[in-house]
Amino acid sequence: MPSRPPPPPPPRRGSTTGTHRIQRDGSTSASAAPRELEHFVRINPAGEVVAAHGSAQRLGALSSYICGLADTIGQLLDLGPCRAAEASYVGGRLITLREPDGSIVGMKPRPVVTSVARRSA
Amino acid sequence: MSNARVVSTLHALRHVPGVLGSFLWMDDGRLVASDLTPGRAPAVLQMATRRLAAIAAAYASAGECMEHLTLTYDQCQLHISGVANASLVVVLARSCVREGLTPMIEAVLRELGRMPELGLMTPLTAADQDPAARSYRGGRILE
Repeated sequence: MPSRPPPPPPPRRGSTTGTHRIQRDGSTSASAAPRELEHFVRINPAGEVVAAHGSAQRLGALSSYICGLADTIGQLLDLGPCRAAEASYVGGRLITLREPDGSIVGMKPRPVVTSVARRSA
Repeated sequence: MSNARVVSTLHALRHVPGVLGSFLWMDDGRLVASDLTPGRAPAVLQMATRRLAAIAAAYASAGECMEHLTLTYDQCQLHISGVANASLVVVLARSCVREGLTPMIEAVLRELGRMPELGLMTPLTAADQDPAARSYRGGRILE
């Protein structure tokens, strides 16, 4: 009986996994270099961390929790599933996005850097 | 204590194109005023505010005091701002022009903050039958 290949190891805390491409919806996307984001995590629909740097574990737990609660609020108020949550602090912002494939992205941009959004084909 | 003055203040937000309504909840999660069209059952709004309170608490555990929170859905957004010991939720169409909205929200927050009855308002639901959402105990992210 063939054995399944082992899953890839989770990104280590502080590791950098290259430019982060973020799907906002079916037609738009944004990309951000790791230097633009203090913390970043992407969690696939199976709940696995597939890209990360910074405090990814904490941010992943927070982002998943926020998405779950926001979805429940959407059900209660007939708004549908939550697409994004953005919290503003004096010291910065925390952004949670749900990508079209169901992945959850959590990120904390560095305060002075603005990401460049571009429209894909 | 009558909530009519607070509801009247909330209604001023309707002058901004794209604002669909608003509601107000205390920091302990009690829903105290609502100005939504179509009207939502207070019990349902109460369940939503419990979860909004849990989200705010989770974000607060991540770092400093939160100033604003925006939840985006397919057709609309929920914009949450704090005032005194309460939080104001404004329901916006996705097409809402934010330039006109921010000064109006700030004006309403100032007016609400000046109301002495804000902390004494009667909850819209008599008893809370909603089990508390699981709380978040994560570590700080904003350092």
